[in-house]
Amino acid sequence: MENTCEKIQEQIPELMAGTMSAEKTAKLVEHINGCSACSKYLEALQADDKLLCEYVEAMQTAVTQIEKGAMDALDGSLSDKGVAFSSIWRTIMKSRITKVAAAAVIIIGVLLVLNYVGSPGPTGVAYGISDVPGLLRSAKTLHVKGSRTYYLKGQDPISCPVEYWMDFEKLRYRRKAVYRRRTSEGGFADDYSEHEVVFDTTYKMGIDHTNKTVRFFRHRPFLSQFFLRVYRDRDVFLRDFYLKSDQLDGFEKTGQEEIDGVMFDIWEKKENRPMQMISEYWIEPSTGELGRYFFAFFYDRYPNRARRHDKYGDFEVLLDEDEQEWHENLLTCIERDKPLPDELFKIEAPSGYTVTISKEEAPAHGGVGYTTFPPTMPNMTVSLRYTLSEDGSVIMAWSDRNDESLKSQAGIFEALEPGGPLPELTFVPYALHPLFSVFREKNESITYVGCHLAYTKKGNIYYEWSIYIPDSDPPESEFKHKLTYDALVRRNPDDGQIRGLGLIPDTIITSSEEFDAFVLGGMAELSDDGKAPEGITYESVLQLAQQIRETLGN
Amino acid sequence: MNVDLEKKLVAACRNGDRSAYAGIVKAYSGRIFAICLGILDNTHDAEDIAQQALLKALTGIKQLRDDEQFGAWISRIAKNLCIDFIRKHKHEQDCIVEPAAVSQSGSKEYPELRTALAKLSEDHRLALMLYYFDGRSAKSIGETFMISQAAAQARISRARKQLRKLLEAEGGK
Ligand SMILES: [Zn+2]
Repeated sequence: MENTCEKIQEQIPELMAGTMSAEKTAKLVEHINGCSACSKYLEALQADDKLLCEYVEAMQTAVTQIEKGAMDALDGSLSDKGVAFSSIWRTIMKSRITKVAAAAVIIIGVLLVLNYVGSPGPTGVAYGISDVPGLLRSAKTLHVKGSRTYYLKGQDPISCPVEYWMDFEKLRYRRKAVYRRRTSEGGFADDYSEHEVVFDTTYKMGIDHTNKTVRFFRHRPFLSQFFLRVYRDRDVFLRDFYLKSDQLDGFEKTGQEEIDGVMFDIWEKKENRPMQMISEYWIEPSTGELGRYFFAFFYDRYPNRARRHDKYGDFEVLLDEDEQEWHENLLTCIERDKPLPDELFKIEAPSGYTVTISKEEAPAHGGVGYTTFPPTMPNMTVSLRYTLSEDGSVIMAWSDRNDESLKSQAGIFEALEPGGPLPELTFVPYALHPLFSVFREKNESITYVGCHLAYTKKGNIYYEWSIYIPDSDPPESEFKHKLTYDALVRRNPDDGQIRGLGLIPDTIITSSEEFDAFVLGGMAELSDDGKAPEGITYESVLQLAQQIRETLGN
Repeated sequence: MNVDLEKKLVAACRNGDRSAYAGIVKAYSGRIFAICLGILDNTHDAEDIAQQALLKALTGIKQLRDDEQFGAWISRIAKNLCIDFIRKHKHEQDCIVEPAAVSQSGSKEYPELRTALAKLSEDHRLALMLYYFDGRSAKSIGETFMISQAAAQARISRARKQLRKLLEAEGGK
């Protein structure tokens, strides 16, 4: 590449930002138009730009969560008495509420697709909003279809459809989505891209419908299962519904509506801060069937851009409607437990599509990865973590990958007993403390004591499967959601220092079936022979945990 | 943010005006999340720390000196909290299966982008996150890194060049 080209290319991001002088811009454009290398680079950067914008857009729910969390916490710390609401703010709130109501009207009359096969609920018990997370979590299959619509002032609404199918039993997944590119002016570009991901227990296929290309990755059954489970446990898809367990507060039954001959209760929640939003569920009270879901909110488009205009010198600048968009998510189909046809999950390139990475050359996608310890604990890793909801015990697979240590590990592991001490490797994570989310106190009054459970070996790596038993009742609230742990690690031989290691539980185990799938499945995954060690069952592990608890004086 | 407006909001916060708090939260949430995501490279932790940073700044707003810019101040708080967090959990990396797919929110998509972002230097990643999360302006980068707008623009350009290289190496688009 020519030296000039390099210089030109360095300036392309600034050109794209639109902050360059007209003269400089003209010069640059002239070169780019006549240079294939530079115009290619510009195209590539534009594609990156699009990708980054989509990524940021997709992360907006996280930002919303932060705003909400911060305001909730502030409400706890502010005294409510004597708090002055500025009159401007109140006026704006009002105008927005009108808009919320208007938007709610828009959706009435939307034609709905409803094909639901659900298990009837216990007779005489009406299903309500609080049942929804449980119903969704226990679904064997899920099919969701809907769209997100963006309303920008002075522009036609832009609608982006999304549809996905999750088969928790056959471990298959498919998601289809359309993305629109945002322009630097804040509007939408005319072009859009359509992507699809399909995976089963062997392959993952990425389809780019816009460029008509397909690429494959190799997958594994355990990984598919784990992925779908973690996806569910971490509330990822519930978040799509704006429904986490801590978001149930504030919903009210506001009315009823008949859709295709079925009468649904409408559950609604409106919020004015930290953002304006409305969330509505159509729930059939006798079955818990979900007829429809609507979630809409105001979205500040480019807050910083507005704030750069000095002409706005008042609070209103934050609330200027020009800077805002109204986003609507409407799911018209939420099917639980409907059999999903095999055809849907076919891992085959559609005809007419170019395969960029074929099945034959497909690289392995993922695998049981591991968390490394800090540099002060070289070669130590944690691979899998589980919490048993039954008694709060934690199971963790960890290893010492130090070459020197590996030579002597066989002898160490063979001598271990279930319920006995942990292997004395270079570092020993001997106990855990629960950590709550950042607003909560760190809880050091409960210690989870580590004992050996089993070991597996894959390649030259030995995996220690330890079980950690709480020495008093594990925390109740948040237990199933955001509990994280601080592992206490000592060196061998002991140098008197305790090292900390934050851990997030990967999977909550609530039944013997789940134990077999995830814990024994994980053990098999981390074994040369693909089998879990013998004699380990959900019952035997709970029993062992009980015995250990008794010796802890509980 | 417009200096006058910022001052008004800050003053209102000091008087306990809840709506002013909401205004600040809304105005800065994107930037603070970008900082945390840039440094921590983990959505889950970034969300928690960003919340904590907003809370810490707003409950301690009386400590803000009169001559100090709120944006720079809150950015520093977020950075320090991230550094504290890393000190405590530096080894913490998301593991298992498909990190991009199992983390939260939008991060379930874009595995290639996430991998590339993870490989960027912290400064570059932080610059990119700030740029895209906070109105695509060099201003918040300038305030966060305490550098001029021109230097901020140069940093974005370098970051984007690096990102391009990484995406290309992955065979991405
Ligand atoms: Zn050139």
